[in-house]
Amino acid sequence: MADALSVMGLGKRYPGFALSDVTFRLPEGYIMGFVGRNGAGKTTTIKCVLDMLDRDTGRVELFGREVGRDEVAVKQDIGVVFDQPFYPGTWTVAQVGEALRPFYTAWDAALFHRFLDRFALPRDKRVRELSRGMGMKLMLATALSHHARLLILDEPTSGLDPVARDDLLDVLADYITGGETSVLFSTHITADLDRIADYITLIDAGRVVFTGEKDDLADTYRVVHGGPDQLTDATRHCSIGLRRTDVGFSALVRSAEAAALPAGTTQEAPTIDDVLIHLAHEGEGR
Amino acid sequence: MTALLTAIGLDHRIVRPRYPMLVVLLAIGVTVGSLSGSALTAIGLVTLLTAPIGGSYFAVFEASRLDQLYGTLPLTRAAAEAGIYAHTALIVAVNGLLAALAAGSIAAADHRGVAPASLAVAFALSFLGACVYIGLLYPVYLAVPFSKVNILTNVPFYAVALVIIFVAKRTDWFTHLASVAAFYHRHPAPASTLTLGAGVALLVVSCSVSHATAGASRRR
Repeated sequence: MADALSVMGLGKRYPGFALSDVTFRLPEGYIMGFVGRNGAGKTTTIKCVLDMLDRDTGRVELFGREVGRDEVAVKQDIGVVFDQPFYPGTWTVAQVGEALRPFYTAWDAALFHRFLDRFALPRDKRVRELSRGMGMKLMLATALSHHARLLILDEPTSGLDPVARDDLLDVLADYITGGETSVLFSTHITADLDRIADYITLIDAGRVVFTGEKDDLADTYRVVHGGPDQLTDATRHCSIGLRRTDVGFSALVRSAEAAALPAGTTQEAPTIDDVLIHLAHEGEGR
Repeated sequence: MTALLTAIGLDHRIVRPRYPMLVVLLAIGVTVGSLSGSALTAIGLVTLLTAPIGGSYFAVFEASRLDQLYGTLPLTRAAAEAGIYAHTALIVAVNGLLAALAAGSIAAADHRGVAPASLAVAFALSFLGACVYIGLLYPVYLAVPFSKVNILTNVPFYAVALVIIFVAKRTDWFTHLASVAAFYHRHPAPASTLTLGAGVALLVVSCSVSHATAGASRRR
């Protein structure tokens, strides 16, 4: 299976923050949720993927072509949605399409206008007058109107109401039909991913802590609950993240190590949120 | 070349809402030139002051987060940067030429004929001045957020103006300019061409510097 996106050993250092050895691959035809807390490194990773930032180490490939070598050809195949529109506020919705058309060899004006109709975007409305949801839909319309093979979305649903989020997920589900298009979907709203993601990459403090099929996440980790008596040195040693509660503790452990935990603890498969929340408590309680 | 033209087209769309200011500037410049009886003043005023209006691109760039737009477009950074320079140079040239045409026509109608060669020299020198402005400021604007440097970036020009006044009063250095003026007077066509060429060359050098400094800022 060919990869739409392959990130290998990506590193980028800032004062007080560093992306370290970020590695993941997104096969063609799938949706990957790129999940992490605010400030975990999602946007920095995406900017490195788009060659908006120079990476210190590592390699990024889009459809087998190294990013930074053939920028123009690579970006013909990518559509991008950020959390806010990145067009001049004075442009109208229709002018956005006119301005972007010359850049894309496969720009499909008819498709763009069909998306405007589908999203109920008034053509004469200025970008600065659009609501957050409408702005996201405009970016989505432009991202999809040049037949991009990979859609990169950076926190597109943050600040959207449930109906707008649902619309977006419907569009993504349609987009992925056919098996030749892929989506990298950065978010910290994990409910969206439960519905549409095939793969998950979890990033925390600039490091990838999990990458793989969504179902594998539940197999890789267990959430363990127990009372104060079960919070032994063995439990602390096994835990990746540990939270104290009123009645005891909950800990995230690797499935392989769960068998070594004291009797009396209860275990369950984690949700994406469970993993994120426990990772936030990494190192505590030891 | 296609990429450069596409980039210029995008910049044109970005700055287009500011174009009415160019018309207002043209009208003011030509009026001032007409009232003062100096077509050359009109050309200088319009051509030089068009450059900052072109530079308003950077205010839009920052306010609308156009770094993200450019980051997603299939366009090399070099083409994008060259497009910004070329677009500003174009609007400076077009507005300057319109000023020359209007001021020259008014002067002719007023029976104060100005030689076309003088108009050409005035335009060329003004264009060079605008290129100095663009050439010095755009590398800064491309490397540092516009809002952080906007107020300070005009300071060097005031400083240079003060130095020129000081030098003019304390030395006879400017008497040497008489020979330069004579050169422009005797050979207006080649002198104007050379001046325009110098302006374009300055922009090319500045664009190269911008590419290097903007690249350095991306690595940070």
